[in-house]
Amino acid sequence: METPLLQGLGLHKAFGPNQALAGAGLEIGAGEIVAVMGPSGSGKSTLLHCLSGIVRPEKGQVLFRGRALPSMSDSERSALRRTEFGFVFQFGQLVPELTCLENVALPLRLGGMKRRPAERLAATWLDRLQVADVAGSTPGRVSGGQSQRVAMARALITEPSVIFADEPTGALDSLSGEGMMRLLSETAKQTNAAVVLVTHEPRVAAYSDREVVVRDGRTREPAVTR
Amino acid sequence: MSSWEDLTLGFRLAVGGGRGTAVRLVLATIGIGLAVAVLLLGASAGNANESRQQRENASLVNFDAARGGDPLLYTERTAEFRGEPIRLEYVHAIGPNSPVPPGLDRVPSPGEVVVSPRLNELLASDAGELLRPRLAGTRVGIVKTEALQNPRDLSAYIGVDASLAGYPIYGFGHPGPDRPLAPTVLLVLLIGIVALLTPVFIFIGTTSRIGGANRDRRLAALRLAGASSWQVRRVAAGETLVSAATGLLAGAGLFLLFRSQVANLQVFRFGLFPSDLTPSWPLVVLIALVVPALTVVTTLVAQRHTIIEPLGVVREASPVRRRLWWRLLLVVAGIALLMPGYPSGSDLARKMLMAGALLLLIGIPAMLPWLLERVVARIRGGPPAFQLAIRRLQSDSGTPSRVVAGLCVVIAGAIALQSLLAGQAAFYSWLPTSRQQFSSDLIQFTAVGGKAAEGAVPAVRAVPGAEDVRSIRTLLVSDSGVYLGIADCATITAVTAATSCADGDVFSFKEERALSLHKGQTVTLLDDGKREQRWTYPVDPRPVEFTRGEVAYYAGAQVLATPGALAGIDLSEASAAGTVRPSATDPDFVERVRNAVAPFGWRTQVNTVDGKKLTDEARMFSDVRDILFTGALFILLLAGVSLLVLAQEQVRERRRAIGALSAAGVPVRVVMRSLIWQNGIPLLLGVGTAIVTGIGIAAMATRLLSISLVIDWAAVGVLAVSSAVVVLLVTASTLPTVRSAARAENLRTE
Repeated sequence: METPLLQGLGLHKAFGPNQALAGAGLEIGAGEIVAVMGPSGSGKSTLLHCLSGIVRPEKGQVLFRGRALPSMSDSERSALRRTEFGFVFQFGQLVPELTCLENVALPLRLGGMKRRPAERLAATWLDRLQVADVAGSTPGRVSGGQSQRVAMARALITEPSVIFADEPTGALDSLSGEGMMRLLSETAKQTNAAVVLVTHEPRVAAYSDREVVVRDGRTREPAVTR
Repeated sequence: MSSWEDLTLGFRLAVGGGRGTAVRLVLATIGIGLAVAVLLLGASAGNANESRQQRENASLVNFDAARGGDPLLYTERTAEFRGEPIRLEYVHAIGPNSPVPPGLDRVPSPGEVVVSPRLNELLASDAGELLRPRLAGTRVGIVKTEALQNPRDLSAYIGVDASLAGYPIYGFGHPGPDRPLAPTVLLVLLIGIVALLTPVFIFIGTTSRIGGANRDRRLAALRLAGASSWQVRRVAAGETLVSAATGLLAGAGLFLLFRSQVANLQVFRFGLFPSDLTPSWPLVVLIALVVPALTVVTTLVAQRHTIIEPLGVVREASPVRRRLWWRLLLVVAGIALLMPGYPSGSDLARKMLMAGALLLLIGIPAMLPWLLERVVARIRGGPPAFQLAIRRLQSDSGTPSRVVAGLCVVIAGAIALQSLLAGQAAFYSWLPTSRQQFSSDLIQFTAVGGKAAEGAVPAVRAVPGAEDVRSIRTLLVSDSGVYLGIADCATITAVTAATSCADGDVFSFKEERALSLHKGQTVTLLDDGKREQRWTYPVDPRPVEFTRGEVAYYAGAQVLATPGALAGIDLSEASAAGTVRPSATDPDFVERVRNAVAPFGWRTQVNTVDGKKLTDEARMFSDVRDILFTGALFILLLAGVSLLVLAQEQVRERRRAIGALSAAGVPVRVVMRSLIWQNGIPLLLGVGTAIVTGIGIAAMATRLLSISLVIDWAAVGVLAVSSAVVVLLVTASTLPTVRSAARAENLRTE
């Protein structure tokens, strides 16, 4: 059997008295889209954060291409977020002081690329995601749907291996949400990126290859595979 | 991304982002700018003092005949006009080579006057009408401003006859006596500098935290995009450096603006020329380095308990309770240094006092966050506005206590110094507090030499409204250095406690026991013409009480003799002293008396009873006290601006929460009241701590300096009330922002 791209095994995480994860696990292969579903407070976002190395689990292991994430240094995990991972969240991921173009170019610039080539590439991604017209605007001046596309362009510009999307359509109306998900799934397929998609909406989950349900900090894989 | 590029990204974040970022930058610039302006003023103090000293030395006269050339006959007197001192210099050139006073092209001839620019303005104005007769000569020029002690000095060079000029001098300008500050004054100044500068640094630190919450969110977004924790620190430093740079520029601008206007300002007796306010370059460089460094350090320290993670800002899991031990250590060490019985007034006592006072002052910003945390943690219940404020303070007591701490250091320092100075002032009988016992509408005058004495008394009598003119003639008893007063019996019974008097009687001042005067004792009398005459006491002097403030007491006479007791003594060159009272209330009566005796030039002097000159040291204390108090009020203003900046920022950052409260039906007045509590509780606590600390320092310091503790309750009151007013004004100024934030539609757009 092929080694999964990303593996979370027996993950435990508590925030004060709240046990967010109690032995959750998940495996995902390259180019696969997995929807993580569950009720509010079930631990699905925490699972995503542990898998992406943002939060260290207290117990359990996260392996990316066989490398253990929790034992990596902060700078190693930062580099991973910059090069191998992309993030699309409900809100809060764009820097309000930078223009949309600068936001998209940011991961490349943090990685050391010069401004002009980084912004040229960012412009092509904005164009690809049909938001080239907002390149010079700051995030506060664009609509929610446009903002999410800009965030997606930023997540994709480094052509990451895994995209972590936490309720990416949560702040959008259903039409914009549909459009957003179509773009995300198509682009992920084109770039062979895996997508961990946290959602509680079955309509959004419908874009995934399979679903994982989180309840009381544990994962359960239903027999639904598309 | 290189470190430089991280910083550049920080610069970009600091200036981008539209109105919100611009407002934040402007607020930080104002806060840091004001502090920088104060620091630049401080850095100019040395030069200002040196320049003043040089000007003072340049005006000192030189008696050294060895310099050769024609001398200049010269006398200097300080006159007064409506409470303002006027420096009058009477000059008479003996020959063409007589030295020319600084700021003049030539020595004015008899009947000519050269006045300072401001005196010229005064004489030309309606207000100067009463002064004109005193400077009746032909105005032949204006003293060059740069030769004055202060730009707004009232001074004049008056050309007079040789008979009215004074002693010969051979030049102007002198290295001058080195007048080091009195050790206690130095101590007071050092404590004052710390008390005034500590808050400035605290304000710089506090201002650089402006927009901290937004910045943390911004940095979290950068972390999500792959920035490492060190990278976001550098980005934060870059952001902060922008406000430090704009603050430095704004501060320099403010300083230059103040400098350009400084010649028009006169604080108490001090005035400065723009050139005096030239900061020392090493200090300018130090300020330019320390301010940005301090802002960066503060930003990084502020993030100490904050982990900026890609998901946002994570406070350390369990809030760290502030530790008491190191804070208490400062206070205990401070008290320990002030407690032991060092030899009173010794150098060691002064050093210990300074170190102890400084530790206690620094202890305030250290203790206050702990104290506030503990106090608000125990408070329960209360009306909704109070409850909201307490909850807010419970969640973050650091920022408000830091802002208030700066203010409290000023208050504590000011209270300590005012009390210390009030205690020290008790040593000097002429300080304002002790002047009151002499206060009356009595006017005193003196006339030196026979001609002036004989002319001045009738001239005073002739002033319209003059009443109760009493005068005595005076001679110096050269053997003992005391003054002999000569007066008729009517005057003697009026100015002493003597109930009977006959011509030929002699009285001695009851308190002057050391003289042991007796009949038959022969002494030498000296008049103004330096003529010596031998006089034998014809009778035993009768000891009597001389009435305070009346002529004999005021003239310093220890012996009073009737003319009959001075048979054979020539009184034609004796000086005179006298008093006069106005028949009706007339604020300008004293000026009319001065005009009446003006023809006698410097030989006459007229003072109101409470217009006595202060001794040099007392004057210095009085000036230092006034300057420190003004400084404290200025820093209080600075604290107010800082508080305002933070209050505005606080409301801006909480727009959404305020909008939500308003949407839930909470009236704006409840939000406002909660803001008053939120600013008022830390202030109340801080001012209480400051008063206790200030009085504590003063109590221990006065014990070490062996002076009495006089608490200046007026200063305590003014500072406490000013602080309360600052809080109310600051809170009131946030009302428009709160109102705008309270609009429910903000919830949609925020």
